[in-house]
Amino acid sequence: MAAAKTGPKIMTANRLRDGMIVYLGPKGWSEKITDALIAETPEDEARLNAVAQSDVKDRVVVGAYLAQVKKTDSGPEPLSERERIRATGPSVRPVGYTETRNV
Amino acid sequence: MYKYDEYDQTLVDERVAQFRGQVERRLAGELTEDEFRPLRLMNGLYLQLHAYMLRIAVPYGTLSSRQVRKFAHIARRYDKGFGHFTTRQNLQFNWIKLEDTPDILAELASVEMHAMQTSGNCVRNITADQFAGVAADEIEDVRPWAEVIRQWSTLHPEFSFLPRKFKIALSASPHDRAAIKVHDIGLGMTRNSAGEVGFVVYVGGGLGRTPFVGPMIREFLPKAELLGYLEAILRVYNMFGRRDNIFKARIKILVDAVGAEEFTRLVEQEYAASADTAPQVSEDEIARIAAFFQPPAYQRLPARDPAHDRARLEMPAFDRWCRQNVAAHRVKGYAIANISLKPIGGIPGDASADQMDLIADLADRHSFGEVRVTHEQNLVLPDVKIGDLRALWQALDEAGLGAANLGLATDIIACPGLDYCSLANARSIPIAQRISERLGDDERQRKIGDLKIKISGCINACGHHHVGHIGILGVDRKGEENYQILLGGSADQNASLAEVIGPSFNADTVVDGVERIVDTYVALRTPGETFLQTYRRLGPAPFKEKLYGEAASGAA
Repeated sequence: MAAAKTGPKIMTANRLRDGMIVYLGPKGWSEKITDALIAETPEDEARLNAVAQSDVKDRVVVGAYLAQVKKTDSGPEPLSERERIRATGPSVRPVGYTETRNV
Repeated sequence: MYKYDEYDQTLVDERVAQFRGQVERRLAGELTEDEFRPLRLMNGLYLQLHAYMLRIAVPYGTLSSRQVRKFAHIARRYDKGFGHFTTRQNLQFNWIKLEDTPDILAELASVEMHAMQTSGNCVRNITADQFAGVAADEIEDVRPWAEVIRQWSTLHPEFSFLPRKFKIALSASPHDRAAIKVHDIGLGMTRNSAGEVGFVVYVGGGLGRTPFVGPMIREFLPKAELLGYLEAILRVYNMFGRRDNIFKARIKILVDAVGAEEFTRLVEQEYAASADTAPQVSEDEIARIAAFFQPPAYQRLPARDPAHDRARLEMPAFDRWCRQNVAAHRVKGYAIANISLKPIGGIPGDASADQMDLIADLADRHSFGEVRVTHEQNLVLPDVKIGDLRALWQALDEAGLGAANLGLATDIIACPGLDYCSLANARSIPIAQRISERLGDDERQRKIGDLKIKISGCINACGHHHVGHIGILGVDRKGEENYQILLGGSADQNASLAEVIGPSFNADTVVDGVERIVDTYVALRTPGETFLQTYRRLGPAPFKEKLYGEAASGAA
């Protein structure tokens, strides 16, 4: 499960019941990337992996993996566009969109 | 349209109950994700970039108003207020919860719908010409045969574990609106020299990593032999299709590897050997199914409606919409109304719950309660009285559904792309939006004329970029979104695969690039020549030169 690349990483997954994107933090899985614990050493990663796999087994989450980030003052920022979009929702409309016009 | 009998209804009801049980067992830990994944995929439920995505089957793109209202209800109650129509005439919802899915499927079953076989290595949704039954140029309504194939392929015990997905499309017009030549099996209704109606059969077309235009393997197949012949094709595929490599598992790879001639020989051999056991559709059964597709109670109307003609003179916007979006109907006094889901700068193929409810109402009022979905992500009201077109257009226009751009530069196909899809390398929707805004002026679009721009966010080509007049493929270039431009593709009866024009562009320069290509075409065309005709006449050279010849900055 450990990623081949180096640098800080966070653990992310889909919540099993509702599919929401979640991040592993000190209080468990949160929908906010700012809550995510940042792994900076192989031991950090191993610890996150162990908890994540246990939660996969316990049917809390599915598809857990480590994603590369950079540390910023406002929290971890994903390095890839895919992870950015996972964290913030589609770039073309805000999450929670329920307007009536197709814009 | 087709109505479920007790067997059909029992099948979907039992399927819902079965899936409900499977979800319970998954949530209770009795099934692991590896065990559960194929089961949920067989019910069209993907784990996607933001949540679970549910792909609902819309058989041959035909919907009743009741079903459209159900979509609106599901969008509001279980999702985020909108749905997305796909290039296989299906509908997708993007924020579905696993725990809600059994209830959603139950709601769908109550209106004779399901999400079976919209994923997985089985026969997928059967698609067909969106104008079937009403097209002025068709031989006959092909949908009874699409329905026969649908029933035959649903839960087929021999063909539920194919090497890979399998897509079948049908057309019955010389003008192919269903892209049959780039499907695993394409069936084109045709007449032989004796005037009998049958099918021409194409096998091994496809897009994706290795695109192909499917070769013809049978020039004329009598209607009655359809299922037996399809069975033979699928048996050859099941037997010889590769299972060792997911990227080489489609039937197109097999057809290409052995050659069309040998593949045809294998099929005809299998077909002959199975003559005694081949599935047949009795005349009674085909008549029973065809009865569901009888024409509605058309009124006897004159060919012209003076009030309509006057409205077109008085209202240029209405006139533009009629010119572009209204197609000839086989019955005098009626018209086929195309609803563009491509508002300028909008997200191609999306419809909000409110828009869906409106479309359902308009279908009831103006189209005998029926709606069609096109593989180009638009909708159709197939049976509109010419005299009703103005009221229809006004209602559509007020709801943002009145774009008069069918087949024009802003009628763009775009896959969900990196905004929604975990397979994607790049975003496709924002590119579609910006091209649409750039070329969106009414006057300019009409001056450009017929132009199909198709955008895919990855090589899987759900956006059909291989068969766009202008195709755009999103790629990942050192972690950045980049876009390849391809030219000269076509999905119709003169199908061709687009050619990559040169090095890729970034998200800004690709829009400039497309504009430059369009301007080059306008400058070089002969009177009345379409983009595709000009490209086929001149080839890529003049376009390449305009894009790269001046060492345009930003070109990668």
